Amino acid sequence: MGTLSITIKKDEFVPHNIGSYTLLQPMTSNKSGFSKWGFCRKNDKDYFIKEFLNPVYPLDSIDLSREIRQKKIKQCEDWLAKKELIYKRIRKSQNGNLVPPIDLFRDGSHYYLVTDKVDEISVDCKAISYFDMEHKLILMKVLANSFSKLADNNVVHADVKLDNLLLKKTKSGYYTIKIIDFDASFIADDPPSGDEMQCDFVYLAPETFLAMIDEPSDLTPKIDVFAMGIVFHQILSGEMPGFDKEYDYVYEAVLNDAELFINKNIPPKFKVLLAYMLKKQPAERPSMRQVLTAIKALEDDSLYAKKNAPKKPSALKIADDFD
Amino acid sequence: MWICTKCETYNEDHEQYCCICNAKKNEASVTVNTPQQTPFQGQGVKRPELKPAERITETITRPTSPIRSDPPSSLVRGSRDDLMESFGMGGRSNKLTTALVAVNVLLLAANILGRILLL
Repeated sequence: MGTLSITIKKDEFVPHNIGSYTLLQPMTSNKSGFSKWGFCRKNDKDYFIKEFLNPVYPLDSIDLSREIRQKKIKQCEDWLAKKELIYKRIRKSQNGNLVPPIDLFRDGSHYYLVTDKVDEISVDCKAISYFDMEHKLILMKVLANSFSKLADNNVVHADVKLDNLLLKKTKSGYYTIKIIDFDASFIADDPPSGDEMQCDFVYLAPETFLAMIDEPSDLTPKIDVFAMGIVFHQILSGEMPGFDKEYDYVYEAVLNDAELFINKNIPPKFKVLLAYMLKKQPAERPSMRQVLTAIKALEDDSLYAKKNAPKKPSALKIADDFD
Repeated sequence: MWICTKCETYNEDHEQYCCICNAKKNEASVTVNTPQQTPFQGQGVKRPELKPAERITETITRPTSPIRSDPPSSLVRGSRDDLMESFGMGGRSNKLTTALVAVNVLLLAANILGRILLL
C-alpha cells in the first residue's frame, strides 16, 4: 500500500500597508495586462487598489547614473501630471455611474491608484440579454449618459468592453452599470501614440487600429461610440455582431467595408442605431449624447420586445436596413 | 442634487423624474449635497452625507425579477467560494476534513493489515 502524506499549506500572504491603505489579499494581474490589482481597507472601508507596473520610480538604493536617474524621475513626474489631469476631468464628468480614481500615490518605486469598491454582480452578457427590455434600456441609457459626460469633458475612455462595465444591483432592486478602469483614457486633444495604446482588439475602433500602425487617424470620443455599439449589441442579443469568418475582429471587417451581421432579434430601429455607431468613419457615427437621445426616442418602440422571447439568433445583413 | 436609487444617476434638484430611468424623485431618491471632488495624494476622501434611502412605493411599476428566463450561470462573486466550502468541495481551507479523512484511511489500512496477518 502506498504512503499517504498530509500537507497543510501555510498561508503565505500577510496583510500589509501600501501608503495609508491595508492590502487585504495578494494582488493579481488577472484580466489586467499593465497592472496588478486587489482590495484594500482604510478607516473600515474597502477599496479597490491597482499597482502600475510602469513607470518605476528610481529609488536612491538603485545604482544609476545621475543623468539616467534624473531622466527617469522626469518620466515619472510627466506620467503623474498627465494622469492627474485625466482623472480630474473624469471626476468632473461624474454622473453617479463612473468609478473614478480617488487616490493616486507612490509607495516605494511603484505608483498606486485607489477607487471605490463596486459590489458587482457577476453576470455575463448572455444573461443580460435575458433581462426585459426596460432593464436593457436603462443599462444602455446609463452607459450613453456616462460616456456623453466624459465626451463633454473631452475624455476618451479608450478601453470600453464588458469587463470594464460592472453590473450592480441598486437599493431599489434594479440593475445599473458602473464604468471602471480608466488606465487607457486620454484627453482627446492629447492622444497617445500608436505603441502607447492599451485596448482590447475585440472592441477596437477602425481608426485606433490605423493609429497603431502609424496611419493618419483622429482619436476622439467616437472610438468609445464604436466600442459601445458592440457592447449594445451584446446587451440586446447576448452576442457580438457577426462578420465573415475571414476576419477575426469587427474592426477588420469594417475597415474592409465588409458587411456586419446584426442579430435578428434586435428591434429594427435599434439595428439602425447600431449600424450608425459601427460606421467606419468616426464623423458618420453619432455622438454619445445623440445615442442617448436616440435610445430615449426609441423607448416606446422597444415595448414590442416583451411579446417576443429571444429565439435562436440568426443573422440579418445590415445592408438590408439601408435599402 | 439627488441620486436615483433605481439607476444611481445624479439628477439636478429641480428635476422631478430621473433623467435616465424616469423614476419619480420623491419615491426613488437620495438627496445629497453637491458631490465634492476628492483630492489626491492621500489627503483623505470627503464623501457627501447621505440620508437613508426612501422606501419605494407601489406606484412605481417594477418587475418582480428582471431576469425572466433561466438564472445567470455565474454566481455573485464570493458566494461561490462559500457554497463550495459548505459542501466540502474546496474553497479556502479543508484542513480538518483532510486530517479526518487521513485518519480514517490509516485506521482502515491497519484493520485490513491486521486481518491479513491473522490469516
